[in-house]
Amino acid sequence: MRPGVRVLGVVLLGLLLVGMGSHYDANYENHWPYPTGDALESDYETHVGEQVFVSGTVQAVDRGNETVEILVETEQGELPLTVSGVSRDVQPGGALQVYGTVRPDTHLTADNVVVVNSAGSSRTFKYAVSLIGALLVVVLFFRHWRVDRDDIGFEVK
Amino acid sequence: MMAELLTHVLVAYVLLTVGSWQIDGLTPRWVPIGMAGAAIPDLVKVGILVDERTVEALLGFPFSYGPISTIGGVVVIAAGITLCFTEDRPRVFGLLVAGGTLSLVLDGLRMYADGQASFWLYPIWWRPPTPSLYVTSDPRVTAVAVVVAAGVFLADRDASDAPSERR
Repeated sequence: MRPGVRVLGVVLLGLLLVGMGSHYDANYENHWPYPTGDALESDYETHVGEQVFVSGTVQAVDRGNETVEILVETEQGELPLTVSGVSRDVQPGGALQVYGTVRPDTHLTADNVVVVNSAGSSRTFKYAVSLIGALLVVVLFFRHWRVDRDDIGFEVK
Repeated sequence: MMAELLTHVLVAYVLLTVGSWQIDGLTPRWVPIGMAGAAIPDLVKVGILVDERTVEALLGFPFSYGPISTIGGVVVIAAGITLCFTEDRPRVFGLLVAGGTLSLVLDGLRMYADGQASFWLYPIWWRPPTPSLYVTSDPRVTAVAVVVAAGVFLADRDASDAPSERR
């Protein structure tokens, strides 16, 4: 395969990926079984009583009332929600998945909560460790492969 | 929201290296290709650098990075990377897809609050049930992956030093 053909192939695959990104976004809401963050944001009260599954970042923790304030990312920005029934230990900056019921006044009662990150620091840990992983792949790769300047591409060393 | 990239590439390293002890065609040069494949679904994190809303504004239509972390996205991205190689492309493609699929399966075992994983089989819109084995920021998952990979690395080095076989 000539380099020109391969470059054209990469461009076409890139366009295909963009198309998939658009298709995914357009169809996600039809397949997601719960009201999305966007739906809650635009018309909250009509969803009261429905089951919901949202992910959000912890803003504040009220241990006395056993509630947690989370921010859910939406297309319009961020939707603040108060979640009750969170018995797990979380701190501001942490990330939660909440499966529960929509209550009036931007309030959720949680049936199940998954603490994805207990604090902002666990996210930093994840990214730092991921960076090491990426470096490891690059180093190992170039031990066995090199750039072929004539043919434009990678070849076996 | 995924097992971090290091765990993904280490699991691929372990499986491919152990596999290379048995399978003749699976030489050391193929191991980093499979590891790179295992990192493909993590490219979804490009969203940290360039927000989806920025991309939407540029394109002029709704867009999501979501497919990157799905079977469909892995196949398309793997094909693109494969075209950057001048030789042995079928095997490059196969290993990239195998690595990417491995990471998606690992992520599909994570905890989800409603017991079902993400739409990682896209273009099939189905959320497979998850056994909810771990959360991704749990350092113990990473620690286990590092220890097992180190053990395999040492065993592989000893095997390579053995006088008899191997290229």
